[in-house]
Amino acid sequence: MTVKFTISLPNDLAALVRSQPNTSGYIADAIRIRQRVDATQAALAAAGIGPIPPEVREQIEASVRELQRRRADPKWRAELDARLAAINAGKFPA
Amino acid sequence: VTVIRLLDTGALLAYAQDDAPVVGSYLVSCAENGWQMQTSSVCVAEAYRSATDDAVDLLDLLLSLPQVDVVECTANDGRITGLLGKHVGRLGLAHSCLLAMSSQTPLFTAEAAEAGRVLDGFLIEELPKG
Repeated sequence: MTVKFTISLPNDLAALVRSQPNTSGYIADAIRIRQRVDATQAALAAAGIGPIPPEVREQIEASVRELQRRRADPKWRAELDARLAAINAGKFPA
Repeated sequence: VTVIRLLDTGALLAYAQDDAPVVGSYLVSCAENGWQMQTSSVCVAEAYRSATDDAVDLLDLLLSLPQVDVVECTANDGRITGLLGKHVGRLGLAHSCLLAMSSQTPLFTAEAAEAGRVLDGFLIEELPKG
């Protein structure tokens, strides 16, 4: 079930939303992400863990970019597969 | 879902004992970006075995979050997990190393030296020993 209503957005966000093929779905996804963030932050705050310092956030995002770059490298995948195969064959270290 | 880190027994306990704020930061980042972290069911068992009463509550919380996925050690994993265990010691760490290599995902661990016997450096994120 869905509900129809009107919202106001800053110009830049309105342009972004209008550019989406499914504007309602895009906004619903954004709200769901915000719900996840709020729930996680609330749970962590209850456990005494505060918000992310900006420099840590940047480090995490940089590390994920590097991870994605590595995962796109088939040579790395092959090296890991070869190492697992050697361990499985009892031939590690070579 | 993009899995960005694995948590071994030591990482679970470090979080639960508030010794690893970086794990909490990763959890919030996962929530913001739709990412996940994974942990082995063997590590979960080892962590609960070693946890104090207060740490048990925090482990319950951590494992209830949708950003943390527990991966079973399946029958197919048994052989190679045991063989990895010969190199690294504990079976939780061994299964974590298997997951790290098979899913190309770095492992948060307080046992970096042991993990380094089978993993390349990029797959190891060292946490302070609790």
